[in-house]
Amino acid sequence: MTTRSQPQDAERHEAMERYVVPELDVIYRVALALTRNPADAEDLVQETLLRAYRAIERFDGKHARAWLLTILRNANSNRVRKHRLEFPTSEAASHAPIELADKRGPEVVVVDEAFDSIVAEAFNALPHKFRDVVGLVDIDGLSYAECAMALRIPVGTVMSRLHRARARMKKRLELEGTFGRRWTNENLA
Amino acid sequence: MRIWRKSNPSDIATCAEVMRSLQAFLDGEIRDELSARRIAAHLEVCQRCGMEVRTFRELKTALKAVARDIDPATIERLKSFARSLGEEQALDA
Repeated sequence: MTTRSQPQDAERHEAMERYVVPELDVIYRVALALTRNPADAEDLVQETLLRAYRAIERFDGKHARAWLLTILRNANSNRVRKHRLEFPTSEAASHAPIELADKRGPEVVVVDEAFDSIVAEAFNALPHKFRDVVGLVDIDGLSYAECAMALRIPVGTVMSRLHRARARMKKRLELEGTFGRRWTNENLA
Repeated sequence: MRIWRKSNPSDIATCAEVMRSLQAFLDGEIRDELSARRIAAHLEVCQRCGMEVRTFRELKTALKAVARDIDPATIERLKSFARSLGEEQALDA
């Protein structure tokens, strides 16, 4: 039996710990946006990790997230191709509706909860291609370049989709008469 | 007050420039320090653009409070998987 005493394995292991493990949360979030399904997202990240492990000796240690996003994107292309071959007529799974995180501070009152709910509704009402971009940038905290890399679209497209998506959400919130309530509430406190 | 023309191009952006770059400004994606400073200078004096920024900032803040339904156990499983790769590779060899 081969042992893990080879220096190569130890270096790979260390590189995985240093560059890959800290990015796992973001990578999983992107996978979730790409697959729209937690089980598929987990499989996709596992495939990404396998590929990253095999290639980590060639990784120069710079921009780990961008490197992992490229691997994830390629792994996802394979997954989609394979899925199309296996299930040629099936539809992609629908987006699971997002839920509000319970991480708001005690200073936020009922008005804010209503506002956040309406924002969540406005977000869920966006077409997928807009929702993906807003989700990755605003919820998951990706930069424009990272988002473009993950979705395989130009940075200019990320910007225009963001602009259009936010304009739609703004319009919806204005129709609800919601804007300004949080601001007013904060200033009254 | 609307700002149509630049009195001194290096000082302050116009309303049109701000509208073009507003989303990138809010997202911290304006890499050019001078442009960011010119937009910020504009927002200090233009009520209309200031209101627009505040509206979008409010929206962005609310979106940050929205989270994907992520099970922390999944992330832990993936971490364990990443850490186990070296061992599996060694056993396969």
